[in-house]
Amino acid sequence: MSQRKSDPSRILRFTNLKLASWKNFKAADVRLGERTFIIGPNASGKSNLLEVFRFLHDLAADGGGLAKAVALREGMSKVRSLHATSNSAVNITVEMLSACGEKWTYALTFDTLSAKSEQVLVSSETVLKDGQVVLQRPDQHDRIDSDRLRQTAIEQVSSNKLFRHLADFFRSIRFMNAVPQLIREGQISPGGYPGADPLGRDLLQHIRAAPKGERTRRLKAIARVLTRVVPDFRDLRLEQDEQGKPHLVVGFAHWRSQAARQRESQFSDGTLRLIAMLWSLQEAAGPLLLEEPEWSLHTEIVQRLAAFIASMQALSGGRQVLISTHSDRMLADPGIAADELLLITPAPKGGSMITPAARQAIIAKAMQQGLSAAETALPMTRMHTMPLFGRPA
Amino acid sequence: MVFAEGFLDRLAAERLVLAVGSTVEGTSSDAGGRDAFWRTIPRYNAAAPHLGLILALADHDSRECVGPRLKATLPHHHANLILRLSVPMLEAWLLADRTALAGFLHVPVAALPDDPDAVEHPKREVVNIARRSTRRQIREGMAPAPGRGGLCGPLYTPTVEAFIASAWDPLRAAKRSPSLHRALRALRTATRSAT
Repeated sequence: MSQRKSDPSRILRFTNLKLASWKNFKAADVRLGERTFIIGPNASGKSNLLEVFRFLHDLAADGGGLAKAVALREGMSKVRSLHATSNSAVNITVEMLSACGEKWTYALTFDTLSAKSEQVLVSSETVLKDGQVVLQRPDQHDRIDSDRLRQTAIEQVSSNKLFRHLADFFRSIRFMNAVPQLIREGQISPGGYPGADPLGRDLLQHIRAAPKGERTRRLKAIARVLTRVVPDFRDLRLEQDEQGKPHLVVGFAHWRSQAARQRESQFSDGTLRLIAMLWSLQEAAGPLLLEEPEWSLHTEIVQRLAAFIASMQALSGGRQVLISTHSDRMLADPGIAADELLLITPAPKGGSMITPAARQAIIAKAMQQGLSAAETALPMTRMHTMPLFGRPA
Repeated sequence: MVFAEGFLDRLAAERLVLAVGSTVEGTSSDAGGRDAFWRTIPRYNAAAPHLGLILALADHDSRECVGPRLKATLPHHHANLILRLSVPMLEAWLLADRTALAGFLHVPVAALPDDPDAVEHPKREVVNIARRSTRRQIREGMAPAPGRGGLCGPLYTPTVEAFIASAWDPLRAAKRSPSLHRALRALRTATRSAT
């Protein structure tokens, strides 16, 4: 299955997310900007928040759908919040905005047929475009044939004609946690098309699949970043070996010409992860989900990472990025604004809650004075400071 | 050796060492924040007799009086540790190189203050000056979009980093910033007596 091309002016981004009974969140309602940092202690549910977007991807993916997306997460008992009132339905509502100003809303509520059943059914599914109802389920067809409720409309190519654009957008959401060893192994995309593998096994294929001009432009942008953080770095190119296998080749300024060129097999783990991240950031597509991108990167890179992400976003026309992290070095960047931060903290009655940092008056004020997110927001997520956490201003 | 409060302070400290005709020997690192700097500085002080000269640079931070803190943190300050504080913060030292900063940000020189050490919040001042840039990339990178809840734009750090590395001249800046002038004098004296 090839990737469908999108008109750049119609590329969407998420502007709001509402959740009910999702994983460890009993409820949530947060605004989302172009760049969002999700911060919280280990096991607080940062990944579960990113997981919502992966779920939407799996709903619309080729060979995906509601039943598959729930099964991939080990069934409803793992998807539904333990802290919700017994057997409440799971709801995900997302609002989206395109570059040309189209507003979309997608709301999905699903539940099991009965308390003991694992059969997942759509309780309701709504699509709005600029406030007008495009889809409202259950509809009369669902009432006649209740088996239809086993599938969402978003996963059915035959019934999503009016909002296929939305399905394409969900499908283009990418989770990324590239594993350097797997990038080096280099494989044809396990996901069926280049760039589908979150672990980066198909990165080299993916880079090769890009149109030549675009590929050169993106590699040059990556090279500009590497010049600043990799000692003696000179250039970055894609080359093919005798078997036609693509390789990334880095040139170093070095007095020994033998040592001056290196293939990806010789790159450091950090360099490879950084290249994978910088490549994906430049794609004009749905949100990129980055889980702890600081992992295996040197401090020199980590403290520049937030700005690298912003500069790459500027090149891609603003690919939306959601980043889970607890790196104080990355969050020390003064260019991170309060409204880019979501804090995940334990909720009073169990589970976790999501608080936008901008709604915490003390954080917003401190950041206006020039204190960084690492100095203001991050300490709020430490276990011992939780009881001090005030009510939203 | 250089140890600084933050990433940009470290780059500036390295330029200071070069400006007095010396070179950074040993490591150059930063604490990644004010609290971490002040927590760590006693250990550098304790190690100073064995490590040679250490230039430690942090923001003075006008929100608090630094005298008692210095006495409490470093009751026995070793001569090898040259602890300097930018008044009130690093950006005042950057503002002090008026012509270079104006050229780098593409703003008129008259947009920059005459007395940078007296500017209440130099970082905010740098951002506000950048808003007047004729370059869109600088305006949008250095200043936050309205209502973002922050002081700086997303590309503040790399832009200032590039300025420090390519255009900032500490000697020229010292003519306008007394705290920078004192820092360079102390550093020059220490390096001379060390050789």
